Amino acid sequence: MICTNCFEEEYKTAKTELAVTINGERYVLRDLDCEACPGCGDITFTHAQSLEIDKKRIALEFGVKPLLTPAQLRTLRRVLNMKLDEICDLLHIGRNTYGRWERGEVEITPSMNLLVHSLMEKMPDVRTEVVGKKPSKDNKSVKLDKKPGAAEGKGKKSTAICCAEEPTEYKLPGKGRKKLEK
Amino acid sequence: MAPIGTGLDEHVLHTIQEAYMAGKVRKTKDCMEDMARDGLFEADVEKVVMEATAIEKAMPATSERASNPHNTHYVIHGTSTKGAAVYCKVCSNYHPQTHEFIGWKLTSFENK
Repeated sequence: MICTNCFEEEYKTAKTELAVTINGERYVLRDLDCEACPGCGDITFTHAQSLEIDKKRIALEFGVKPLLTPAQLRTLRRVLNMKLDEICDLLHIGRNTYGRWERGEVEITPSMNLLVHSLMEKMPDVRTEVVGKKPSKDNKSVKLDKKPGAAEGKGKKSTAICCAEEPTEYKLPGKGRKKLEK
Repeated sequence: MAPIGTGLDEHVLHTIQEAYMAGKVRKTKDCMEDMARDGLFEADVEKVVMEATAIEKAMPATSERASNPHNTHYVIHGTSTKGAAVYCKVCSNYHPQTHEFIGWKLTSFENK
């Protein structure tokens, strides 16, 4: 497809970066496929490339929102001052589900974990009390790689992620999810 | 911004929806940055574009060099999968010399 900015060159597949904001913090996704014009440098994304970026963003979001522990879930309900049936109604889950998470009988599911994190994002003070970390306000963009030195262009570029704070081990919740022992 | 016109609304919207379903609508980097900033995903784009019943025409904003009288910017309002009010801007791109249609581009997609 011809560049719709300069109309002189065809777009070619290239790599780019994208800044992503999660919980008020900026992360940079690297090594993303895009279509770039060799002439003017204009960048566009095809539908397929956009879907791939979505996958990487979701993986990153899962990584920075680890599964809530039973203690955190108990704290959340205490801070919200809600009864078990009230919070179950709020989250549209079965009457006993939240109680099972709180008692550690089963782990919270990854999708519900994201939903509870989203709920906490609406109330920063609650989030601070439960997770113990205040979201940054200034969207700082200090780039730190998972592997120190990888961002300086030495050797192969890191495929994944830079984060704003200390490097974190990104692990998708749900993999190897199992029933907790009492 | 104003509605395009009774007969044209449906035609333009249908054309954009067909192009979207065929995976032929490209996104600009600005659009991807808007989406990443506002926590919007492709599913939200699909919901807004495919569920749209109305479309508005915005002023063309192409550069002088790239502009073509046929290039038109449209705005589609809708709600995201999380229920937030969002809007997207779609523009048609024509070649300045040949006037051949090149494709649709999503130039912006963000929360209102």
